Amino acid sequence: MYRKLHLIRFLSYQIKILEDQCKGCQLCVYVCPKHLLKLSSHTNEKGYFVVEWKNMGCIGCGLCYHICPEQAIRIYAEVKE
Amino acid sequence: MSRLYLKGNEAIVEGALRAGLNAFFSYPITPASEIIEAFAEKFFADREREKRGEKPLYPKFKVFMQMESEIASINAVMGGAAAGFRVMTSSSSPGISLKMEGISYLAACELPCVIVNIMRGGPGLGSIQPEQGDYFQAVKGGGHGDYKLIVFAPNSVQEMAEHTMLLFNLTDKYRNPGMLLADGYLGQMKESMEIPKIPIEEYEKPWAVTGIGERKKQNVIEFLYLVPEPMIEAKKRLLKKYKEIEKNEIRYETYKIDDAKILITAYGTCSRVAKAAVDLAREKGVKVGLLRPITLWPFPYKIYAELTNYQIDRVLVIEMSFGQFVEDVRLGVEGRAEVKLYACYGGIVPTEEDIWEKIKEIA
Amino acid sequence: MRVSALIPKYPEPETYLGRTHYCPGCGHGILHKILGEVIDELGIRKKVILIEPIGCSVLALNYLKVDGIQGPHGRAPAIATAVKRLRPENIVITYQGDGDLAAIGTNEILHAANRGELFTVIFINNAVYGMTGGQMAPTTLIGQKSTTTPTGRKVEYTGYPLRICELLNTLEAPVYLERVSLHDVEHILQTKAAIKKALLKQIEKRGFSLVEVLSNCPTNWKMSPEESWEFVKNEMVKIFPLGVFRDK
Repeated sequence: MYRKLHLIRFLSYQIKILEDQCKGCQLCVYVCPKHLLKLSSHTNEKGYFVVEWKNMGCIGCGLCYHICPEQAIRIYAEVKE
Repeated sequence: MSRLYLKGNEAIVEGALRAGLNAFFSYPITPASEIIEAFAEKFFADREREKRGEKPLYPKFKVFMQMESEIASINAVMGGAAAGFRVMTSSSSPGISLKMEGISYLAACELPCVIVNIMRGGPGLGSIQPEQGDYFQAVKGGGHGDYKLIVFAPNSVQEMAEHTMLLFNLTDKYRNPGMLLADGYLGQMKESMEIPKIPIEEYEKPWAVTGIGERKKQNVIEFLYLVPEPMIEAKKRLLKKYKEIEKNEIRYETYKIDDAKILITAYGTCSRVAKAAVDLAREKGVKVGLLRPITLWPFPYKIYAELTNYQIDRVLVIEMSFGQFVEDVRLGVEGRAEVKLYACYGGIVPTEEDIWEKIKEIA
Repeated sequence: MRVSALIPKYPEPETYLGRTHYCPGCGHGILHKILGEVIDELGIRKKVILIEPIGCSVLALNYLKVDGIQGPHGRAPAIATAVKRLRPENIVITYQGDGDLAAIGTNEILHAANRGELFTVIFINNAVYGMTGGQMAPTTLIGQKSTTTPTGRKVEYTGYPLRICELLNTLEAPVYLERVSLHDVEHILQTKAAIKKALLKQIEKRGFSLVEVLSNCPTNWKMSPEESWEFVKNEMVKIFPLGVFRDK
């Protein structure tokens, strides 16, 4: 299923940040080509400032997913009707 | 054919193969090189048999490797033991010093294996003559940390084979590394021996590293605790195991102690000479008895205490070193008798006449 | 239109569990994640035995759900030799840092590579000793500051950085030697492909494979994660050129 997603054009995407795993290293902020991520002002249980998403504009490129050392980002394709 | 005529070193190989050894990793060193050579001969002879389509004589002996160093050998033993196999390595005093970190790790991770030490003159490069200078290294530590090795001290070619087989069983049973402490004299001498009849005891190894397969929990061989509480628990488990071994596995031999006034005590090669010295002394009218520890750890402290409680009031310790074994004898005797040392170091094995001279001094 | 369903783009990881103790932005997290993905994609998790080093990744087996052994510093290739020869059907991987492999363990890796042992070595090189607080490593660059080279590494005291791939390339037996990096997503995906290729060499029983991965240490280099990856891209790659050295 994962391999066929790219065959469907005009998909839009969402990301979810697993806040309890994020360490605020900001590599995803650095790498996002549409600058949709930034360090937020709230912390998780461990005391790290976590990253947050602008909630729009994600093109599903996957760069943030690949660079996150904690695997704390999940990318979802939105099926609309 | 029910008897063999072998060198001590070759008898170790015979015993190990009969115990179902799976892998041997070692590095050559005098006076233990015959061990690695005998294993090589048997291993490659089996491979030639397989090429000709015949069955190998030792199907369980799967891996033989001459590693690049003593350190690589003990670490290969760690890998093989972690994977759940019967593994062995052999060396002599300076090589055993190199293996000490590995031995400490093996004891911490509770991995069964047999380490053979054919002692030679020390310290440093020393000599290739026999000495018994590695007693402290084997029994009191050597490697860092709180641990104990199960140590056997054979005194004949027969025992070189039998104790190797016993060590494979005991190390598997208790999940602890073990050491066969012999010296160059025993390693090099040739004697007739019977085929050893020690049965192979199989033990389950659910902790072995085999690939997670269908298990829910990973098997990880490690011993690192960053906070004290789990470390305390882990060390309590080790301590409990050592107490159990001390309760069940002490082995020793006595000779003519019932009416003895003087006790002589020795292990390994010295104990053979000591036995002859007992007979010589009794001919000359002095009632002497012999206590020979077979396991150096667990040490038979209580036997020394029992024997020196009544008519024995003098103990002569014979060893080929400055005086290492004598300290444990003193601990066992607990001041009940006078303990004297005949230290015969430098590479000479004492004769029964030498020992008789020392007995005369204290008789 | 409203969103009626969300389809995940990537499968949930099975082998890599995350929640690590590594510093924020550390390459270990990225490399563990890629290793986990490759193990999942090849379907070999049940057969993997991982030998972890002494170093920051001494707890790697807390984050990768496979069987494994924690051996003494630098001795992983000797341990892996025994495990692979006694269990040839398992996939044996050693994961070693620059102190483990290039300092104390050079003898073990040289001889294991020379014997053509059938396991795979993942060598993560970040030019410093991270675990112990930032001392010089054999792969530290000339002029690089560390706690034991406070005025920069000088040739007359410490020699030159060691290039492991080039050294092992002089041996007959190894079948796959590649140096890769983790400094941007393009190179992360190249690393993933290299690791997959190295593991396939083991599965196909071809021979010894080693992948050297250039990584960072933001804490001990005293840089932010982005700056540290810039350092890897601009400085380390000059001294440790990327590429395939051998592919038999």
